[in-house]
Amino acid sequence: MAELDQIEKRLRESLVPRGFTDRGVRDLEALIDDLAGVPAASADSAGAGRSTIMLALTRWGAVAAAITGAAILVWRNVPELPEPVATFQQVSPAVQLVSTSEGVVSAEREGDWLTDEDGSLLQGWHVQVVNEERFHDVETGETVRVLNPREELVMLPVSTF
Amino acid sequence: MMKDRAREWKQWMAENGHRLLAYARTWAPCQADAEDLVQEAVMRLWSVQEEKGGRPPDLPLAFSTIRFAGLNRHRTESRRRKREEAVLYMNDFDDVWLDPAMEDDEDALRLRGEVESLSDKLREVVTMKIWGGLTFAQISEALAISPNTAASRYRYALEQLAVNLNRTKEADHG
Repeated sequence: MAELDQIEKRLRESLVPRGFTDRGVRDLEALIDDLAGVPAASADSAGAGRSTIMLALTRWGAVAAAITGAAILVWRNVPELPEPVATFQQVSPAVQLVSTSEGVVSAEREGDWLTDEDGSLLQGWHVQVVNEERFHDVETGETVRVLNPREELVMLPVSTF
Repeated sequence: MMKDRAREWKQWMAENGHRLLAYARTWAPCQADAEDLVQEAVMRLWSVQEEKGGRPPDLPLAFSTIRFAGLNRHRTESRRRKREEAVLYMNDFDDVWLDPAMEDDEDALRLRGEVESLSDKLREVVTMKIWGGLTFAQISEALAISPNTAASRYRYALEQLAVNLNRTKEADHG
């Protein structure tokens, strides 16, 4: 028992999770402002929380990765219908596709449990997914985030009963 | 009104963001992906909490949302990798999620290795308890398991860490 207490103590005291990068904090703040419908300029003046979140999140753990230039993030609320804003081919060559990723906006259970070929239980989820593409404009140095929502039926393993 | 809500969520993230990130990191292969997972969770939680007055969520709900987002990402990633089997994925060995509190702390590095080698189920309970600051009741709520199961997984994880650390030490000195 004493040995387990010792392990617990060592975990708490000798290992520190890394904190958010500066960029991660900025993205998170931009996301919250956008979800709240607060314009960026207004958010700056309103942001007692801005310095709070930046200080609190980045003090945790090691120093964040280097900042790679100021980024202006354009976050669009998810429209009711999928509506691609732009395709890569339509964008000027000076604009580069930096990354693509997916995010889940909402999920609801769909139907009863099913089994796959291994006999594992699966639960269907009706998921709203947003595909995100980040473009970097070489000329202005700005980064723009474009969101394309879609709906998907996902089968996930049932791990608890 | 919305400014107040944004401020409230930012304050909540300032207090709890590092806990959520530590847990998200166990579901993500790198720091950037873990931060994206937290963002996904915030998006979903915002929508869920709107029906409850828009206040920030309880921690167990936030953890379980990250878990769901992690599971979903894992599924997508597995599918993508199956499509791209020829691609060689490089591991960034500097992109670790736990740092030793003291530089050159060999014991801490060894401990980190043992934490990383725990099974997913054990590691997530340890992460929630140690770096997430959750109680067993909160862990049980987040994982939809009983508090007893949460506590026994935690204890079993500590026992495994103790055994493995002793074994590693003996091997190093042997």
